[in-house]
Amino acid sequence: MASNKILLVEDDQSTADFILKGLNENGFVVDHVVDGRDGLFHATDESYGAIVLDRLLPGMDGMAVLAAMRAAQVETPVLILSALGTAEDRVAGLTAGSDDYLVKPFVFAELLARLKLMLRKGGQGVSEETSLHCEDLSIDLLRRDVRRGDRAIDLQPREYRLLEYLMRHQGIVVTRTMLLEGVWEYHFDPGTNVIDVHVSRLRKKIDEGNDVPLIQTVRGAGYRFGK
Amino acid sequence: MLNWTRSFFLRGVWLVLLFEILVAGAVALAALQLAKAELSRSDAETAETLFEDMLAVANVSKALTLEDVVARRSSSLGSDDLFLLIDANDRVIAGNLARWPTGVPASRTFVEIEATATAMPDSRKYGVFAATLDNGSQLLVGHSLERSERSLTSLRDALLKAVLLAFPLAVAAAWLVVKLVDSRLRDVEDALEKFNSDNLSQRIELNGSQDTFDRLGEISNRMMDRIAELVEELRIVTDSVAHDLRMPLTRLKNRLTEAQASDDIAVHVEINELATNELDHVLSILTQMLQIGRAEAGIGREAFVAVDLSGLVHDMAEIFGPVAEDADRSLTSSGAKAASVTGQPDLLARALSNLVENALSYGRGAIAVKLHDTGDAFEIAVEDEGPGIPPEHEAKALRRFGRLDPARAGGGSGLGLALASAVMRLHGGTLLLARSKDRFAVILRLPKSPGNSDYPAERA
Repeated sequence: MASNKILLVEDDQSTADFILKGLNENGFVVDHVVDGRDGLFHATDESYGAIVLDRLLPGMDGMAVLAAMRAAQVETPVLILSALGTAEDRVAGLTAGSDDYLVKPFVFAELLARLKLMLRKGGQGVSEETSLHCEDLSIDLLRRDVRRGDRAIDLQPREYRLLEYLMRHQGIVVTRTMLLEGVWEYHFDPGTNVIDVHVSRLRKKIDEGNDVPLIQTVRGAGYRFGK
Repeated sequence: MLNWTRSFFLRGVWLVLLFEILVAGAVALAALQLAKAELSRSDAETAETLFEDMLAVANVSKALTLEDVVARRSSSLGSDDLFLLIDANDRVIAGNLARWPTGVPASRTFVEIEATATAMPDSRKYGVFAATLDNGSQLLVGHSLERSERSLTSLRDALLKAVLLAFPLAVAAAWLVVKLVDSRLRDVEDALEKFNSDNLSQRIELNGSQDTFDRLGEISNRMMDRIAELVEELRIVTDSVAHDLRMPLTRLKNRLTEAQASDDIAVHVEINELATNELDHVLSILTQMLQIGRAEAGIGREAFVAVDLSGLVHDMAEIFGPVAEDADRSLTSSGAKAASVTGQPDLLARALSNLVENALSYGRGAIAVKLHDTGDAFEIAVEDEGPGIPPEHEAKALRRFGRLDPARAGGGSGLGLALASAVMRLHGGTLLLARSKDRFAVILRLPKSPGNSDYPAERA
């Protein structure tokens, strides 16, 4: 029951317009407020699927809004936008209760991918799955068994985690930095085509010899798993 | 123009002068007090001795009574002493005083009084000693204080002259001290004055005494070293930024201009992609420059956590392994278990990944990532079988924003080594280069205790 209503708290008009336009084009309903107090007021409504919160706001700082929200038991997932891009700022943002942290300036595809991921998580709730499926590909999470049709696929541990991550995020775009974070738990921009190499290896094992490729490359953004 | 009244010069002279005068005055005063006390004591002794003497003479002598002795003494010519003997009814028996002076107790104590002796024209100061005798009569003996007064006066005059004489000496001394300080500071002043953007090599000459002025010079020199370094770096950075950003931005502009001239949508799509890549490149350069700047400034240490280097080495080898394989190279990792340091994991990962990427892009043959425990530090060496960085270019390669032309020509930002080096400095470590006949290694050296830092700690 993930709501596709997004609350955007951003005081910079040009950034806000950019995000509004992009999200509207992708079918989201966006409420936009320009200061922290209004943001907090709207957030307590709890009708939103996710909140995009600028860190530096007039009136009430983004981190204060987040703290007040969490104190008021509002559990809507929050993505913080910040011009403070260092690792320690990011860690501070995440420990303060935000679900994700994106540094300005950012590519819209990255924001979109992360928002969709958050909405997915928020909608799913916590469920213990024992297997993942997509088309004729399946993973047995307990036995760490991967099969495509009746063919067993042998994967390296990291390839397995990469596939698991992609399958858990079926249908949405995951960016290269999201993969590095999700699979290897590092947060830096891999300079070369490192992630691409890993994905193409996985793709070879999964998709080779099949008519339906499951790993799609999304130009300028990243990858999407699914038909 | 020197503001005399507020300058250290005049104030310094005044202060030294004042101090000297105060000291001289205090010494004179103390000497005077001492002399006074000493004279007073001696006067009291004389008066008492005189008193006892008279009693003794009267006692010993068969012919003379005390009355006779007093009468004789008081009438002796030129005597400036005071004698008076009265009976129990206060009648004068003998002496050169008309009556018992007020304020003199007959209690064997020494008092100073002013009195006029019968033979004297005017009153004088006396130190007197009086007592009641066995028969009830009272005897007073006084000793003139004239001589003591005179010597005290002459002592006072002498001291005053000495102080007055000291005054010009004090002025000269004060001037000299201030002049000396001024001349020592003048050296520092001159050097700092001459130190500017055109002359960054100016330094203060030290005399090795380690005194205040020498230390001031030393600190100023260190400050000038740092400024010169920063100015030099700023020049390099400005040049590098200008060069590195202008190239891709110019290419970008050319591509976009090209696109504007075309009606073919396929051309637009292609150029759009090229332009996006170009921009990615520009953004990554900027990000790395910012990261280098922050690391160099020591920002981020407050967020240090425990980092397992063996895990880091393993992860990097795993992340880059497939990339190496695709290039028909091998990438292996080996080394110590449980190597924990405090640091910023993402920055350390970034530093190590930069070295691996360098080895992949510019090195040759098999790549080995090795973790060593050297006792007081951990070393992560990234080795390959290529020729490495030529020795003559090493200093340039390690310098902040220093880069080598092959890196510039290639797709990389050329900042990889500089960033790794900055990250090492942030962690109190160093980046080293090592070579053997067929191998080249770049080594990240991280001290186990962050105290062993060669990075200048930020002073609070």
